[in-house]
Amino acid sequence: MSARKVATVLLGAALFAPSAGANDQIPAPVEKGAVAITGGTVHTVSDGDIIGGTVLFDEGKIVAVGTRVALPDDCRVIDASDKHVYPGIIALNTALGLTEIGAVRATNDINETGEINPNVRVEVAWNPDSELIPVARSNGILTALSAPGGGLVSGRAALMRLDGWTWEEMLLKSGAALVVNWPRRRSGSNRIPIAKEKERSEKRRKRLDELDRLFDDAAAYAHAEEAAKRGEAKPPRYDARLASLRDVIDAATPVLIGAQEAEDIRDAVAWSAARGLRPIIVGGARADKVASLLAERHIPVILTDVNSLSWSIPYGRHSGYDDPFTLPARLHEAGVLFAIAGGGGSWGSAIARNIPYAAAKAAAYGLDREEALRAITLYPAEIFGVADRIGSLRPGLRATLFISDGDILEITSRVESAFIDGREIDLDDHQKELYRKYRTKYRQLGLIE
Amino acid sequence: MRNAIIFLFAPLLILAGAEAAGASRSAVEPLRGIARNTPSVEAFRGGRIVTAPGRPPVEGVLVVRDGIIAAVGPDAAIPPDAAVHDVSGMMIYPGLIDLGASFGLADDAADTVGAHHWNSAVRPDRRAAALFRGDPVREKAYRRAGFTSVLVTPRKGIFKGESVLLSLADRAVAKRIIPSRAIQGIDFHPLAGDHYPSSLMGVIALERQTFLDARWYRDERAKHPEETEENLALDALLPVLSGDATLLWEVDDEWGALRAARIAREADVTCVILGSGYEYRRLDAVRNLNLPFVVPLDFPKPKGESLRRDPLASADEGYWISLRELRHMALGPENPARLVEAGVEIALTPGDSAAIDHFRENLAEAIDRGLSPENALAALTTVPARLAGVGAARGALRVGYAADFLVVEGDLFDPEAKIRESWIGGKCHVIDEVQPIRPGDKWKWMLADGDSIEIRFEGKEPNVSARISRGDSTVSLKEIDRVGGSLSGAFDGTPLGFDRFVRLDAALFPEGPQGRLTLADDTPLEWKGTLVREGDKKKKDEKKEPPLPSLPDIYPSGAFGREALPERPDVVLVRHATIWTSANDGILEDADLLVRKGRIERVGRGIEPPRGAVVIDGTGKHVTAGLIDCHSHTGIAGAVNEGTEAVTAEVRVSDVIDPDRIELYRQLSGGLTVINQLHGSANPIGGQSSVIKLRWGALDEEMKLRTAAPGIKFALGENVKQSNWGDKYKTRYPQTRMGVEQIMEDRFRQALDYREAKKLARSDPSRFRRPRPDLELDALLEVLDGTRKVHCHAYRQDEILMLIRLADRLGFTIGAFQHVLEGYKVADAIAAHGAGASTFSDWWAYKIEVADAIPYNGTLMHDAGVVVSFNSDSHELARRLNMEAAKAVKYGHLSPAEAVKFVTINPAIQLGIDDRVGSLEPGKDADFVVWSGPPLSTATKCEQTWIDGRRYFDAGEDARLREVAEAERNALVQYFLSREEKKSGDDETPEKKEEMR
Repeated sequence: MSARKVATVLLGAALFAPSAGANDQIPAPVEKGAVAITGGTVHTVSDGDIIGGTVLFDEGKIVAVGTRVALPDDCRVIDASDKHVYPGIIALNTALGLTEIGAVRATNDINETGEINPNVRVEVAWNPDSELIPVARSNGILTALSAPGGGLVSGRAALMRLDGWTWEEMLLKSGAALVVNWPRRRSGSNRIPIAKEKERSEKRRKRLDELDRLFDDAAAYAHAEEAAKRGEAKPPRYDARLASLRDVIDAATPVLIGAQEAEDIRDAVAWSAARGLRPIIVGGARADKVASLLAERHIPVILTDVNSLSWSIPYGRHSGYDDPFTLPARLHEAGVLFAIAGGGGSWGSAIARNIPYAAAKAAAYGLDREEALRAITLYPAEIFGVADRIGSLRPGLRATLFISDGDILEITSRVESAFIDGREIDLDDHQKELYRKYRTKYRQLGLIE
Repeated sequence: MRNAIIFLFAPLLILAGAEAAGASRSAVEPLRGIARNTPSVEAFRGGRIVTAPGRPPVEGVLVVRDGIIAAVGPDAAIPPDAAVHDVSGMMIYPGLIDLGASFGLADDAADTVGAHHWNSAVRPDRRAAALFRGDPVREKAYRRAGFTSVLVTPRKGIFKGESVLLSLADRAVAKRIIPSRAIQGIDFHPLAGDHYPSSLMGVIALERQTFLDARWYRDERAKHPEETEENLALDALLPVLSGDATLLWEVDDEWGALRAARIAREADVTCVILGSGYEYRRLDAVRNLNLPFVVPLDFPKPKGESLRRDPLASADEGYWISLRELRHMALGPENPARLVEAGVEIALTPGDSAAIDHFRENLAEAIDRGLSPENALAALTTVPARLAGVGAARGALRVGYAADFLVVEGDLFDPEAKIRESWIGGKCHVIDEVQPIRPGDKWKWMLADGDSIEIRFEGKEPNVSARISRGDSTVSLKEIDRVGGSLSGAFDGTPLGFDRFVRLDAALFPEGPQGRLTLADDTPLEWKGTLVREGDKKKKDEKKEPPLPSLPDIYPSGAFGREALPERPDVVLVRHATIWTSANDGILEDADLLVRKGRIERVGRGIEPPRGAVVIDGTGKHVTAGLIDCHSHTGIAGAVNEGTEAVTAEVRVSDVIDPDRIELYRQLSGGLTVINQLHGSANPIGGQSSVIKLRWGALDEEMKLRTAAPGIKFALGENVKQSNWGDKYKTRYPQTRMGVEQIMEDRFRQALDYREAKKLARSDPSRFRRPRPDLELDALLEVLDGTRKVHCHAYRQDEILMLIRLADRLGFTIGAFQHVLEGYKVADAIAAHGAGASTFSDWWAYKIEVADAIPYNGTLMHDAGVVVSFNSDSHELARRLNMEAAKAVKYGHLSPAEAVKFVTINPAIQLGIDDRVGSLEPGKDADFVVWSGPPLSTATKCEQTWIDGRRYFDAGEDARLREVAEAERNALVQYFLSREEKKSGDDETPEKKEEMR
């Protein structure tokens, strides 16, 4: 490395040091005693809205939800009159904790090198002090699925609680899914010269073969392990990739398959069925074309492009302008279970706070508003098997919830307080700090009150 | 005049004559060996001669002497010394001329040597005549298609070089060059790589500047020959300026044609457009150019696989082929006919390199789709001859004209009719030799037992097969060998009553075939037969094409196009709506909006509908001014950045408006009406911007909002110092924010010096030389004069402040900072300077310079007195700017009425169009949006978007347009599939059928 290069690297480090440092928010301590939120509109999500309802929780868990809830004597009471109480929003398809600044390579831990990485785990690279986390939290995002990206098999996503001192504290579910990027028929662009099609399909075939080989090998590996367990053979030589796939081929862990086009989704479902896997489709821009297939087989979809910033959505020059907006309503009509998420990656993680507005868009274009809310709370929890812990307001579930001054699907509403596992979290963030700082400047200058 | 032309060409004809006898030797080349002096007087009799397009064929004689037509017509006498060719049953046509070729050229020497232009894409000094080395294969293909001369234009570069008109005679290159009008090739294609220009707008800027340079160079050379540097490229352009040479301007679509014509007009030079085949899509605009077009005949066809594939993709969307492309595939073949019908002068060219092999089929298709054979012939003979300046010597069969003609067995426009010979400059090229044994022939002879054997020849040249039958049984002749009139082969004799395999050999004699069968036991069986040739039994296989679905002309062609712009009712009244005026009246409940002739007349309560008014019931609905996006890259053809140089103030987005982008319509569906089309942020001083109204369906020029303040893009920070461009980009100045300031100030200072120099030259031309007109510096002078607004991409507070101070020093006011995500840190300075701020609502964290971006930015700046707007920078986000505005309420508690101003009147102020749009006030343009509910609510949908009192988007109409598009696409898929079916049926050869049995 030349002297000049060293200098550049150091300079670079100095430049991004401020934001690669810790965020200033202090993880919440355990709440002592019961807490009751009273008087607000309680959106249980699972069992309708309760106007003037109470949510009582203690030791991190919801004790009671209803209009006639007896409050314990030493209970902390929060008056939520004219306000709304919601279960925490679950942001799927993020890379939260793995990224800080999109353009600064050193701050990104999303994509491991190579095509096949089933063995890498998100949580061990999760930065609890990321500035992006409090920003997402400020709008009621209290749980996130953080997913690795890149290659054919990217690694294992984790469900994370968005408060805590360490990743271990924040980990809600390790290995929530194995991320697979289905080899696509076409790229995001609408214009693929037909002449190039053969080349593309050749590449695609190779990638599909690679995927098949990986899962065949994993099955063989599991078979050998079983034999060894029974004492019939020596254990197979350690193979990190194959060993890591055991729970996936046993269908204990779902496969999060990235696919947008109907044919790709269909192929991915057929492939999973042949291997007895549990697929979850992520993307799903054209899931409506295979809706009956998805409904019949109870395959959930995570929609990522309802409010996409992608230049290629909606696909095709003659698609309706509202195709992506009406897609959720059409899927619902067809009986498909779906969640609504954002665009993913570093960029999507920075604006994960806008996920409620994608759900709101679906509601404006035909989806029942209650369903829209479920698509960012209850359904994500169901899809990842944690509906018994989060995603709705029911007794026995964790007290992961927030209070807002209005309908959370409206942009103009603001989140006023939030609890994760019953602990009241700090809703401040880097952006609010700067806001206060510079309001002070203009106050000093006499420009504002 | 006519005489003069003939006189001009006379010496040429003599030359041509002299060489006709001299085979392939150049006139100055010494003779080697024994001279060959084949007599060169030919007479053709018995044929029917088409002397020129539109003339009926005449029976008569054509006499050629030394390559020149000496006599033609019924009265022409056959000279006693002529070799006589009997062409009975043949047609004679003038040879075809193509102006669109570019083959057979050698690469030229490195352009870094010699007094060349600084830009390697500017090579008008390149001469095809000097680079032509020939391409025998392609030339043969051209001759087969009926061409006798081609204009070959260099391919590389933007100013590509001078064309050469070449005879396709098989001769030495020097003898093939036809003196013609000088033609310079030019196009819009940037060279590959990182050089300037890399974008379409950069190419146009370079072209514009180069024409100015050439004029300046010409004048300066005349005045100060010794002090003006030599420039071969500009030298070569001088004939273009004087009108002695014309441009052949190659374009990629109809918009390219309009752009080329504009630049040519601006530069006051003449041009011929080498067209794209898309001209019919904007026929009126193309006709109004009043320019000749050379249009291609290679009509794109859908590949079967793209039609059949992916049934799941359904017909409602262009999975591989959009409706727009399908429509072009269906309508493209009509392009020549429609141009002619519109009165455009056209020449035809085969099209891209592979198309020559299908030229005659394509030509037949164009004729089938309405082009008359007369016009087709003119477009291939007299018109190109005239355009190339050789109309007095070529393109028709007249006495004194070059003897370039075709001998055709039938109608030239029937692709099945064979071109037998192509005579070029008196030299014969055999194209399709008449074979003694032809498909369709039958040979018959009797066997001793009275049975007859028949051999039938089938297939197409050169793959001719033969089948032998006796009685009802037929077998194929295998191992067939056919040379001239002789034939041999073998067949399985068993089905015909012979023992095992029989060998056959025979030859065709004038009185009939004669040959021998060799039986399995080696016994020869001699026979004499008769030839049955059923004349020209045209198997008029009436091609039953499926009917073309009805495809009305819509603008743009494809989904969501309309047959005309939406009508503009005289009076429109929206009643009982909540009206967000974005003006002093604030938000008016239960109010009415009255529009007359495209302008707002009144906003208020209780307005009674005037007679004939279009009344919109606004009960429960909200109305805002049309939304405005102060930072868009939508509707820009080619690249958005001319990022190859740090300063590109000369490029103009207004040169490259692409009005057909579907995103424009989609943005209308979100209430957007005006966009500021900005150059990208790849360089400190970028290109000039363009403000358009989203008048979907209109022409590029018609979309412009001409009263908008001219703008220019500046940029600061990571993008311009190439921080995230990768390791290759570490040398361009600047690489730091320090350098950014310096290069900006430097260019402004250069501009001031330039102004001074211009002033001096004007005041005392004898002492001071006129500086080269510099479009880059002119744009910067406009900035300094306050007539061009700077829209500066900026993030960090230091750089924002730097530019403010620089502008203060130089005495101009910045129009608006764009993105300006740390604007909140120096909002007081921005406000004091008087710049606007056009920001993202809540983007952050994608780069280190936006780590401190906060969603409160908009409101904080607003509170500090800055005029703030929210922009999209994205095709997608631009569809919901009202949702972005709501974020100003969420973050910082802005009032809803003020938040709506962030996407209406505030961007209008920033663009200098607030006198026309941005609010709902009397006198302003009737640009408004009808929303289903409050504009800042996520539950609200845009229902109607009006511009100039025309309803450009309507949710109900959209649903209908979608149905139309779906129906059209389905019909076209069916049409092409059935055509394909038909075609594959045709292609089945007898052998294949046999195999299938």
